[in-house]
Amino acid sequence: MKTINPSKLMIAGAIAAAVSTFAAVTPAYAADVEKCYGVALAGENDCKAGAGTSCQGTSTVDFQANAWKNVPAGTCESIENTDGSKGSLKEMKM
Amino acid sequence: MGDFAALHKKFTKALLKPQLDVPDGLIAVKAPNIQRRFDVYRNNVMASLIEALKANFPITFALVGQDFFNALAVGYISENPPVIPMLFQYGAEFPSFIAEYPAVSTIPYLSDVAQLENHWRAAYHAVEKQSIDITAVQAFSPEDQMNLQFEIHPSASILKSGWPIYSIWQGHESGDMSQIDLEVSENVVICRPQVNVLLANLNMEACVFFRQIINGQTLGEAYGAAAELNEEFDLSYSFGQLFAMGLVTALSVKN
Repeated sequence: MKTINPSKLMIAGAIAAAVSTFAAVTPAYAADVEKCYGVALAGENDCKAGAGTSCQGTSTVDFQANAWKNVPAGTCESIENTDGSKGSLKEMKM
Repeated sequence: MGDFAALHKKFTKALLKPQLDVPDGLIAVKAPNIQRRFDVYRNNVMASLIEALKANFPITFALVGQDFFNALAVGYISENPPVIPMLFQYGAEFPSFIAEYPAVSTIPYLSDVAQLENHWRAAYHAVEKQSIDITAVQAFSPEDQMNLQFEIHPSASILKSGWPIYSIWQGHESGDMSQIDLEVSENVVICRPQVNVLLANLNMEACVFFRQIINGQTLGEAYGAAAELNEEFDLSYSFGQLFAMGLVTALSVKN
């Protein structure tokens, strides 16, 4: 079995190519959702740790201002609740 | 007290095994038929655990359907009751149970699909951590780049399979399972840098590269191992993919 001794220039070249290719595109995972405060129905708020954990679904009133829900990115502030209030990217005072 | 402990033990044992009798010493208040009462309780426990497995293994469920899945689940549950109260972790041994289950021999990929679902769920519930951007490597000289070591995101893992598990996962997501070639082996890298769990299909040499990086080898070592397997190994692409998947949370140089 032959062994390969990678040269540092070869690796540096490949890395430079990767940086120019991949840095130009926003990573697929970035900003796929945004936290939106004040739009979750009672008990339907999301939570950082995800489904099945203790803080999910603990908000007690509809559209609770300090409870957030993940919504498609870019849509939060256009969400209007049935009570006329709007979604907010920042936590709101109760 | 000792009597109660013994009764408790018999109770839990009988609960998950319908073929066992109702444990002696149980009384149903104001109801003559203890057997029926116990069966109702038994049924509720079993049904709720089947639901938990169904929720944890949606693709496995979709592949075999309700009846077959129920049979698998009942077999698993009676031998492997939950050991921790968090049911989102229930089913750690389900893939190996499936692999041993005789009727599954016609669907030999089922165990690996269930294993992939365990990896998915582990990533989903893993600790949160910020991934770094690929441009961070520009701070290192070519000499140091060869000796780079990578701190890996806590949600990251790799699953090797002799079956097309990535295609099956993708087919389930898209709702079209008709194009899957069962002759293909696929390896999957799983990571959850933000909200969504990301999966990518790795060829053999990319899989070796990722595994070496995750195990703490340097970039030069990982590249050498992958290129040894296949000279055509595309370092540039795999290196970019490490960051695009959010696998890297810090860089350091090995002295």
